[in-house]
Amino acid sequence: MAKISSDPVGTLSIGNVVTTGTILYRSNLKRYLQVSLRATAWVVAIFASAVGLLFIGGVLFGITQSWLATIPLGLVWFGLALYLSAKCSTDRAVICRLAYQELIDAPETVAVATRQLLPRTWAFLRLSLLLGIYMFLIAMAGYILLILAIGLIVGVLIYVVKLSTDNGVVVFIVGLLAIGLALLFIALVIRFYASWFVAELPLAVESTRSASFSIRRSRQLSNNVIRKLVLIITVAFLITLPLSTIGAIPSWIGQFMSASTTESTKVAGGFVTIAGFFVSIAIELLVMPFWQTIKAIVYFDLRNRQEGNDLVI
Amino acid sequence: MKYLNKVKSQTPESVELEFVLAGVGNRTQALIIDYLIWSSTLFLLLVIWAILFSQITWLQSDTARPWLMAIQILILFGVYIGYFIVFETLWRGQTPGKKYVKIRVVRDDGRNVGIQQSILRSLLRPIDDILFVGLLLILFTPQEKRLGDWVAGTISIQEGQAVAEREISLSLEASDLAAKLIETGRIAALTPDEFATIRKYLYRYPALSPSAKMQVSDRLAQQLISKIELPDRLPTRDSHLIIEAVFLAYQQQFRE
Repeated sequence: MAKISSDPVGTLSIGNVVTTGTILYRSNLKRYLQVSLRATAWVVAIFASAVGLLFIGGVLFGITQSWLATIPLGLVWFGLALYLSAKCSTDRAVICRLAYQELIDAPETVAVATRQLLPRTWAFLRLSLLLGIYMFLIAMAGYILLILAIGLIVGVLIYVVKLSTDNGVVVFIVGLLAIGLALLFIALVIRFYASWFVAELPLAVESTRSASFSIRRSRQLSNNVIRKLVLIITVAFLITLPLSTIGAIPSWIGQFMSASTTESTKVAGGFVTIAGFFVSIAIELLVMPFWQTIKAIVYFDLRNRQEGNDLVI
Repeated sequence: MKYLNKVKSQTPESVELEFVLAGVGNRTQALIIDYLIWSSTLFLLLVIWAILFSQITWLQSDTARPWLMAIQILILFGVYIGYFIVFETLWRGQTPGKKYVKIRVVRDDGRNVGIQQSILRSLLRPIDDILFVGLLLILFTPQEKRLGDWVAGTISIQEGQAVAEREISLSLEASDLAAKLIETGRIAALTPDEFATIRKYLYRYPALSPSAKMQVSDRLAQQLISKIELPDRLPTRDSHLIIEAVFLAYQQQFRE
């Protein structure tokens, strides 16, 4: 009876991936947060440098009365932003590596993991840019399809079937269809996100230095288990929902206040929105390591399943 | 998985049991499934109700209306609370969602839950759902108990996967080779843990990628050969076959 839980297969179920993520994160809270804080600092630095350079640009413009003088500043900021993004992407990957190394019983310190990934900083930038572009394109294409589909349905109902828009039942059915299509859209985006879900890991723990190889490997590993990954992402998302909701509240309040007609409320709303921005950064600081841990566990499990890494005597 | 929380409990007969707790991931997944079934049932009931109401004129009379409202509210409340009570009581601590993800609610001492525990858990469910109280409690308490679990004295555990339920298909040649391996008398050098690894390998072999199939079976077969000091000249060089034979031989070695 004591062995009631013995797992004869040695692979992880959807729920156990997520649970392991929460437990691994909790037991490494300090270390992961330390790295997450560093990653967040790079992002804040991007905004801070933008504000600083805007100020300098304003002064320069005041002196020279020419926009040309501000162009070098723009270039400097662009370069700086790329560098800082690269640092941020690398630090996010450091958490993946820390989690993975612990899973394979070869834990590393933060310093060691960071040093290991330092030479790959620019590859991580390429990786996050590529993934960002891919996701943007997918989301845009999906969004356009969604709008077209809804427009088509409504058009057919009104002009071909000649239904009246006053009819409550019609409005209800169209609404239901729209919700269904929107859910389909979200599922589509998650489906593509799933195939690139572990793309950081090969670059973080294998010997490759190529971002595109890392992405290909992510797709190859997740090829047969996309549905499972979509479910893992959904369950993990639901668990982060309380935190994300708290993070979003100030921004909602801010936007609500900005829509007010009173001038003072509008100004206050602006400040609340800015405060909301910082709150959401703080929440991201807490949530990001959780996602990176989940990625590491998924990658660990996928490699065990397909490559049998854990099958040793 | 070593990272999952475990809990020891004693039955009334002082037998100690160890359970792996269900974990926040499994419980969330089960809840998603249950809420989908449950909300579509409610939705269906509402639609049927609306159709009945619009089609049968007798129902629209003023005398019938308050009664209808009462019945409607009763049915909705019954489905809302009853879903979890009925399933958890009848299916010994499981709902369709829990069954799907292979988790179960049991009392703290490992016994099956009764109607009393199910009612308490169900009545406190709305409070656990509001503001994610239950989620936070599951995340941050060692026994992963939400309010309903505290009050009812229950825990959610993972069901052990029954080994016998899973089929391993072995090749015919393996049994011949296994008989030869038993004759060598060295199979006993294998530990139960190592046997478990072989079993895992055989379960998961079909899902391995083609290149991994060769690599893993060669590696494992090499390790086995040196471990149980098999004779150099085996009748086969097929690594997978050797592993299958070792598996069979280990299973059969102590049988008459």
